[in-house]
Amino acid sequence: MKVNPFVYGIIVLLVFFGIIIGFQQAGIWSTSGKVSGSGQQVQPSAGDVNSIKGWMTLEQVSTTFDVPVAEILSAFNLPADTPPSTAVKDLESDTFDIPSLRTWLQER
Amino acid sequence: MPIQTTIPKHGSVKPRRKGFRALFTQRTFRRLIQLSIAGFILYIIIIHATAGEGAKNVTPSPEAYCPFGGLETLYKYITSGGSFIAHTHLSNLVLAIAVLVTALLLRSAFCGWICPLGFIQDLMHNLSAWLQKRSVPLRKALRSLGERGRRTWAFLDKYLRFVKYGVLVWAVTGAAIYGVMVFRDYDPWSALINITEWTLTPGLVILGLTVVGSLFVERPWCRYACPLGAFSGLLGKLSPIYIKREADACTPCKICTKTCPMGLEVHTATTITSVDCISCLECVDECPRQGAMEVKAGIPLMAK
Repeated sequence: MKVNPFVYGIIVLLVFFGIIIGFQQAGIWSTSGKVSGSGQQVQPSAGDVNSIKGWMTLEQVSTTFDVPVAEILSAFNLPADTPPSTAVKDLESDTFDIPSLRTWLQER
Repeated sequence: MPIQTTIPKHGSVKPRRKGFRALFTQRTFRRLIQLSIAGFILYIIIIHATAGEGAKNVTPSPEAYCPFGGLETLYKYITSGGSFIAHTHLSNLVLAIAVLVTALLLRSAFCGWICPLGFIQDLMHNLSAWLQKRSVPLRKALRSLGERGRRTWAFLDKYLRFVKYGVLVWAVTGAAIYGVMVFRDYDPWSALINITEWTLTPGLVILGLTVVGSLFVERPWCRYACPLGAFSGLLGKLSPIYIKREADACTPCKICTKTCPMGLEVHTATTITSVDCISCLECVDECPRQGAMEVKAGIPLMAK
């Protein structure tokens, strides 16, 4: 069966964006770690290290997991004068990333 | 397949479009789609860089719109019961599913019609063609370079095309084993969307090589290294869509091969079902003969 190239282009758009819109309508869509698929604010949970997201600040992690900020900074050789309001993702380096923070908190 | 050198038995010359109709080609339509999507991503990059992302405001990162991130986080998502590797979200998974379904139904149409990195490479190659039209010495120099290195390049091109499958396996299994995006630092797309961070990464160097390379070879990243293109191309083999070249309506002009951005030998094939075909339909649009190149839908894996 012959397919017109313009019709083909329209089908591409319908299929690709139709799937995205379908998932969005079903509440399965989130572009940020701050909100869940249903649009609710994500909060760190003391019992779950996987709830740590890159946007969370050192202070939030410190309060939730009851670990002093200074201890986190020293464990990962981060500058001691790092402001507690710094987002975890902004500190990523060769010695520090979110998975290693999660592992460290879990083992602690 | 012998190349026809006589007058075609079937088909006729396509009528020349005039006035407004000359502008409204399949290529213009495709470029408008690519431009809109690239514009949207640029908007997200600017908003994310200017508004920032404090503890309260939500400005999605452009990385949330990368389908390959969905493939990288899939294993973690399944095995951990819904959590993601860093820099990925639900949107990445949804986009990966959209690419997967599009490939199964319509081949690698994502690469040819939607991918902004492919569009950037197209623009760079068009710039090269524009410069060559205006500068005779440049055209001669590039032509001479092409003539001299033709054999070596043909040999390299054949084998370099397999690199993307290695990248796909490394990126996906690496993310599954280590729980981080091992490919991220080498990803030119990631380097481009995070360009406002001003960090020199291998990905930024690869991006530079891709942009400069596009002046000489069309879509070098897509041809040789794109893991998403490799995934999409393999799935596309199961699609009912294919391009058919009708030998009886064909002339020996080779325009289809010359216009193929992926460097496929379209003029010698009867059906174009290559994993490297990005379904841009340039060959169909540019073919001067009515009925010589057509998009067809049939039974998957049975195209003849």
